[in-house]
Amino acid sequence: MRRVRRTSRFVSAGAAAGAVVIGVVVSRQVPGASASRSTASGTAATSTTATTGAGSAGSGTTSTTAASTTTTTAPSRSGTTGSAGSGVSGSTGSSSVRSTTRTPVVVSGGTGR
Amino acid sequence: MSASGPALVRMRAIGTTAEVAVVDPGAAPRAALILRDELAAIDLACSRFRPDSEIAAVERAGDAVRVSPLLFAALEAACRVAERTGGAVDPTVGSAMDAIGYDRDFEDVAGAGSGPGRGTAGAGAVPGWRAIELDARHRTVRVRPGVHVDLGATAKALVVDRAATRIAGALGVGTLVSVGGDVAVQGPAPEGGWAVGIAPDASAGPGHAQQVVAVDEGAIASSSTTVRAWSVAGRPRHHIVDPATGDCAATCWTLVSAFAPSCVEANAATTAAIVWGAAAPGRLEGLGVPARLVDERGGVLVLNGWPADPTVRTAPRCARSRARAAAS
Repeated sequence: MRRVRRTSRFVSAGAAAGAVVIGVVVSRQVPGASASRSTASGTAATSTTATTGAGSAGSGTTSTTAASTTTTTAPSRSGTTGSAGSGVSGSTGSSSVRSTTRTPVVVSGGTGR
Repeated sequence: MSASGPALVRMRAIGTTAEVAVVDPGAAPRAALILRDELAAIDLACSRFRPDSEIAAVERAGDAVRVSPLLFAALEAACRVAERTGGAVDPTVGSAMDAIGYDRDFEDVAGAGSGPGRGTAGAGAVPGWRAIELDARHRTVRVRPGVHVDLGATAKALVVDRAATRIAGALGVGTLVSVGGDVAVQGPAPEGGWAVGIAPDASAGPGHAQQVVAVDEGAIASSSTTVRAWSVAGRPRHHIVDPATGDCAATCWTLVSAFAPSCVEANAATTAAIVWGAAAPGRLEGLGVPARLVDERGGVLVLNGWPADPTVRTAPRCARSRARAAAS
């Protein structure tokens, strides 16, 4: 079982023009605790390890045990590789999106305020 | 061993929150300046709420006008998205947006309401993106008279892509840019990748994330019908228009997130999915876009390699809209 300790620290900074908040996320891994990833190239298969803990955002010091990482690689569809600004593409090439128990830096969601 | 994490700078712009994170904290102030510059430029070029915007001048002209490279790029991206989504995401929804009551900055819409009787009905089918004539050789644009352009969706995504690319290139650092919940990363990612939370409201904060994913490159966008939503005469309204009706898209999925090589592509997929409703899973599967869809009852459907979230139940696949689609 891998052990990962994560420390999150968010501090307000003196704002320049406009309200500015600077947050610094500090991650520290216990030696030998590098997270492994399972990649399933060309398929939508996933590989998951059990999660027993998760950090919380901006909550000072938190500890997690057994960080979980699930990696999937999007299926590549020949002839449809896109480039920036090219509309909908059926391929993300070798890029992948995977689950993690790490503290999010930002949130993707509906356009809030 | 230890590693200093990314530095995050947050600012208000174009009616929402914009954020930039860089792997090297020392680069944060310059990164923020670049992002602010890009946001100011896109606002001046594309805003439908500013009478001094470049797109407003193009609409007033009624004839072919030479425009800035930025506005041309925004219009080109919007028309390309419209074509590739079969018109589900169309830049000529401006009048429809006005008709549903979203005719000013959203803070004013939500704060003051749109008034009884205003914004309760759609405007009918929109003119369609072919009403925008683009001449790449001369960099000119003609918007058919009477057509009101809204670049809200694609321009926001475009500025995310542009800012992330420019910051990573100029400063030589791994960069994440988020504007209103649309996210792109460029350059070397921090160890473990960039962690991005998924939530209905991007401004709710990381603690409200339903799921957390990590990426090393590309972009994640989300569209939701539960934020930028308001009520007119007791009727719920939201900001995503179905171009076929000119009215708010039927609420089938309340939150759709997608991963793509660029934010423009990811945003196109999520916005189109809201409009496609019950047909969205099949179309997204066909496109191969990794996506996560949440229905009205909180059920979650993941597609094309988007990681499963074991804590949630499988979506009932938007049963209500499926029945409506079958009947039509």
